[in-house]
Parts: sequence; C-alpha cells; structure tokens
Amino acid sequence: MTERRFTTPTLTILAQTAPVVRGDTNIELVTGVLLFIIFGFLMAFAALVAGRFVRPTLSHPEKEAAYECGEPAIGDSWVQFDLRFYVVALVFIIFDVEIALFWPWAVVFGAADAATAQGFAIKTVAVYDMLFFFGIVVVGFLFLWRFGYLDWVRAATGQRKVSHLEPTLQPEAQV
Amino acid sequence: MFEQFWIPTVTDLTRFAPELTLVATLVALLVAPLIMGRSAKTAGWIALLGTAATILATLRVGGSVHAEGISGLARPAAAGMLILDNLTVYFKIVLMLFLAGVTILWFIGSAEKEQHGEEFFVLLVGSALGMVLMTATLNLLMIVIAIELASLPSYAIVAFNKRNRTAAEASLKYVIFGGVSAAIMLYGVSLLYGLYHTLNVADIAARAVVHLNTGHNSAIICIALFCFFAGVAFKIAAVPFHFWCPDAFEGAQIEVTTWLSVSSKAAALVLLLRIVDAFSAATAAHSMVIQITVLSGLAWGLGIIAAVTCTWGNFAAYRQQNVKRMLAYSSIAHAGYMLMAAAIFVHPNAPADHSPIAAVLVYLLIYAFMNLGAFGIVAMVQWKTGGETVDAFNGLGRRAPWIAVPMVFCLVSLVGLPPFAGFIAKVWLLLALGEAGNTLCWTLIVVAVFNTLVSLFFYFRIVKAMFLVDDGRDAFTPPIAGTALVNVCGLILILFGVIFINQPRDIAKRYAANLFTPAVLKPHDRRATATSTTPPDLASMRTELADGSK
Repeated sequence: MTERRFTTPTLTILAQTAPVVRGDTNIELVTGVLLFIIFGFLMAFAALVAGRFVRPTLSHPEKEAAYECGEPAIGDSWVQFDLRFYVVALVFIIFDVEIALFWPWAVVFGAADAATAQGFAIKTVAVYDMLFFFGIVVVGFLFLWRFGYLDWVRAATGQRKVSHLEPTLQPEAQV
Repeated sequence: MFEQFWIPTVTDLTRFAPELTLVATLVALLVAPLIMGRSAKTAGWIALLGTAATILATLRVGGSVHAEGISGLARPAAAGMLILDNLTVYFKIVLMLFLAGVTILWFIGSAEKEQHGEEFFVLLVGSALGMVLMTATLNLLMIVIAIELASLPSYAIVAFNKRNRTAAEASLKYVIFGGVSAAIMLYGVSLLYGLYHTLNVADIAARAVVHLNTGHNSAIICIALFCFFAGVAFKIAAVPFHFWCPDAFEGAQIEVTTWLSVSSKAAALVLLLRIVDAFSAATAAHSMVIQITVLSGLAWGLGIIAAVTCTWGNFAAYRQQNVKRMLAYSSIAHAGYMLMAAAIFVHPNAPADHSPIAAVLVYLLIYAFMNLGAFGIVAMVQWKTGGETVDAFNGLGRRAPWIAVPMVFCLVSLVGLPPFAGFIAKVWLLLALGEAGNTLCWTLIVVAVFNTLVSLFFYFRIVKAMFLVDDGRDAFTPPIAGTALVNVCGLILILFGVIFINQPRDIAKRYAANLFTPAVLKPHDRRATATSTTPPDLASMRTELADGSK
C-alpha cells in the first residue's frame, strides 16, 4: 500500500511530516476557513485605512507618476509592444523548461552503471527518450527559425526585397 | 536503486499507438513545411492522413482490449495513468471521424484563403490529442495536463484570425475563464492529494467514501470534490461554468466552433463518466446504506446541474439572433441532457446493463452528426452571404434548397423529434432514466421533456425563416462538396432514426461494458451486495483516518 503511494523516500518523509487537518467537526473547519477569509480581508484593508489617516498628504507631480524613478516618463504605458519580444520570451521559456527537465534525466543517466545489464538498459532507453523529447522541441524551433519568427529586423528585410521592384510600396506589417 | 525507474515495453507503446500517431501527425505538420515549403492544403492533407492513421491504429489496438481494459504506459502500481479500454476506443474513433469532418469543412471553406494552415492544424490536432488523453486517464496529474493540453490550443485557435476583434475578445474571455477554472481545479486536486497522498482517482474515491462515512471533516472533501468537478464542468460548459461558450462560439471561425461544440464537451463527459464510475465502484465494498448516502449525494448534485444546464441553455437560446450563438446555447442544453445520464449512472438504483453510458455514447455519436450538419450549413450561408443571423436564412428554401432541407433534418433532430436520429438518442436517454425509476430520474425526465418543448420554438424559428419568410434575397449555389457533406449528415440522421435504430445502441453497449477498473477496487459489479468482501487496505484506511482526525 505504502509502496504504491510513495515512490521515493523523500516523498514518504514529506507525507509523514505533512500537517494533518485537525478539528473534529465540520463546524470547526468552516469557522476556521471563514475566520481566515475575514481576517485576510481585514488585514489588507486595515493597513490601507491606517495609512490613509496616518500619512501626510503632500502631493507632487513627481510622486503622482506611475514610475517614480527619477527619470521623467516618456509617453504613457498603453503602447503596443512588438510581438517579437513575446516570441523570443516564449522560445526562451521553452528552452528554460527543457533544461529543468534535462536535470533529473541527467541525474538518472549519470547514476546508472553501464557495466550492469540493467544500468545499460536504462542508459540506452534514457538516451532515446531524451533524443525523442529534444527532437520534438527542436522541430518547433526549426519551424520558427525557418519562417523568420526569430529575425529581429524582419520588417526591414521585407522592405529591401520589395524596394527593388516597387520603391513606393510600404513594408507589410507582418507580426 | 533502479527498481523505482520504470521503462515502457514495446507492448505498452504499441497499445498507445493512436496517441503516438497523433503526436507523429503534429510533428509531421511542423516538419513538412520545412521540407516542402508552406502550403495550407498540404497541412490539411497531413491532418486528414493523420486522422485516418489514428483510426486505423485504434481499430488495430481495439482488437486487443481485454474484458476490463488495460492500464499501460505506467508502472503497474500507478494504475490508471493511461487507460486503454473499450470506452477509449469508441471515443477515439468518434472523435477522429469528427476531426475528419471538421477538416473537410475547412477544405471547403477556408483552404483557399488560409495562410497559416500549419499552425491551424497543429492547434487543432493538439487539442484533439488533449481530448483523447482526457478520456484515457484516472490520474489526477494526467487529468490536469490533458485538460490543459485540450484547452490551450483551443484558446489560441478561437482567436486564430488575429485581425478579427470579436475573435480576439472571445479568446480573451475563454482564456480568462479557462485560467480561473484551471486554478479552481488545481486547488481541488491539491486538496485531494493533500488529504490522501495519492494521485490515483480510484484510490482517492475509495478513501473519500470511507472519509465521508466517518463524517470527520467531510466539508473539506466536499470542497475538494466540488473544485475538482468545476474544472471538468468548465470543459462541458455546464451551468454555472458556461459563460465562455456562447462568446467563444460566436467569435471563432466556424470550423473551430463546430470542432469545440462537440469535442470538448464529449471528452469532458467521458472523463466525468470515468470519475463517477470510480466513485460508484469504490462504494461496492460498503454497506447499502453507505452506497445510497454517497452515491445519491453525487447523483443529485450532478442531476441538479444537468437540469439547470439544459433549462438555462434552452431559455437563453430562445432570445438569440445570431445562429452561431443560438447553436452554442443549444450545445449547452445538449450537454445538460448528456449530464443527466451521468447523474443516474452513479445512482444506487442505476440499471445494471450500462444503459446510461450507452445512452451517452449514442447521443455523442448522433450529436456529432447533427452539429456537423447544422454548423456546416451555417458556414455555407455565411461564406456565401456574409450573414450569420436568423435573417440570413430568410427564404433559404427557395434560394438554396439543397442545404435548406438537410438543415431542417438537423434542426428537427436537434429538437429530438421523430423520424430523426436525435429522437432515438433522446429516447434511449429517457429510457435509461426511466429504468432507474426513482424520484431524481423522474424529475430529470420531466425536465428533459419540458426542455424539448422549449427548444422546439427556437429551432423552428430558423425553419420558419427558411420556408415561410421570403424577403426576396438572391439565390446562391453552395459549394458542391459542402452540400454533399451536409446531405450525408442529413441522410445519416434519417437512417439512424428510421432504419438502424438499434445498431448504434448495440454497438455503444458493447463499448460501454467493462470500464477499466483498477485492481484495488475489484470486484467491479457495484450492485453485488459485497459487504463481506471489504478489501484489507480499506479497513486499515478507516482506522488510519480515524486516528488522523482525533
């Protein structure tokens, strides 16, 4: 029974030391949750209300600014960011997560002893597993690369190509 | 130290050939443009081929399914990680047929002007993979991952036409609502894991039944289960988690609407059936009193949601002018009808021959054809005239009789009137309800019949517009392939409604029998009065729980 529930010693220890929900009746539980919610709200509002009465109000245009960093702000925050930032961020996150998934794999791979039959089998399977996984990620990356989602100066390259034929044509916005 | 590492065998991998085929289709969709250059039509053909290959793989694998299903691709102890049983085989075949239908619809309407076919089909097939996984698991983490895998591509594909403001708004609503539902569901899942330290839903069900029976802290288990079911209800679009549905369906491209209207509901319903089956199987080892207390609580909960869902859907549909939006509400109502079967399935007096599950399966199959036909016709009217309101259908009987007539078939079938398949589907559903024959079931029957009556009015508004109102709009010729597709759907509805009345049900019954049951919960037959055969671990759990709560 325990073997099925906890596969590693760490999990077993975690499970054994986890706090058990106490309280004999549902009323206690519900009261507890209610008190938690009420006090959660009260704490937040009490701090705000107390601040409202205690703090001096000396308004100044610098203090009213959204980013009070000493530099005058240019424009407002409702500008449209270039989608390329998001594409790069997404690619970064995918490879970041991939590294996180590589880590446990590498631990198992390193710990397996290739001299024993079982260790060798695990190493073989692990290599193929990771190649498969990595291959799928790379396919997505190649797709992005091939179709120009990684070109930072995409609009400019489009302009150069077009301008040979029709100098007046504006580059197509293609994000 | 390597006993804890588990390696899938070739046999295991072969059993999941359909899922792997879908993954291969996804990779092929991305690799093909790298080699051959971008072409939307190529992507469409790859998706169609992948769908066909998945159906073939499913049929090949389906022959090897044993009596009670197999749990593969997981160590033996982690039962239910990925399940292969008759139900998954049936669902995969229906879903893939429907995916093929949606792809054909896309070929007819959008293939010419589509510039991002690869991305479209990666998202479409990706969500299909998520839905397939949703129906084939009893593991909490897999359930969450599968629901997310089905949802995330759906969010993106709703806003696929990025210059369309309505689509962007719909997608944003869908994302926010989906995110909140996922958070609620994860909260429930973490509570369940915290309470029972296991991810296996069957184990959780067994423990929860004992837990509810001892009465200690039963509020927390109710909260956990409610949160867990909320995530599933979001995918079904059951009231009160239905708000995304009309907006997403109205804003999305019509192929996407067609796809979401059936597939996401179907997958979530099958998942729900599996979860409630785990609960009803878990009570088998207990006394009749516990069975009735726990199961009728669950049944009434689901039953009330089902009744509210279909009533709400039908009444809201009544006021709609946009046909896509009206069909969205109609799909909410149909999800309500199907939820009724899920509700009585867990009821202690549920009929023993799996007729509620069979009724849902038949309903899903027929509903897929009705929706493919109805949305296909709405799509053609929209492509040709640009309108998707009820007015756009004025005089369609004269303007395009070859699509107006199958539209009548689909609509009458959606109402559930003879001689169409929708009637037969509803009859099997009501019969299954009647077989159980208790207060809940009779209430649900009354609600269902009343709703059929209400739905008559709004479906017939379109029929009236098509044949009785004619404001002299121009006639048009719908695409030939599309006309063929919707007429085939109409023909199937008649055939299933008049000639092959019993066949779908017989097939569905064969597939509904013997759901996968993890070893811990056997014997499976919950109606056997198996009070004496309490498994030893349940007894130990009872003391464990009693100790924990002191």
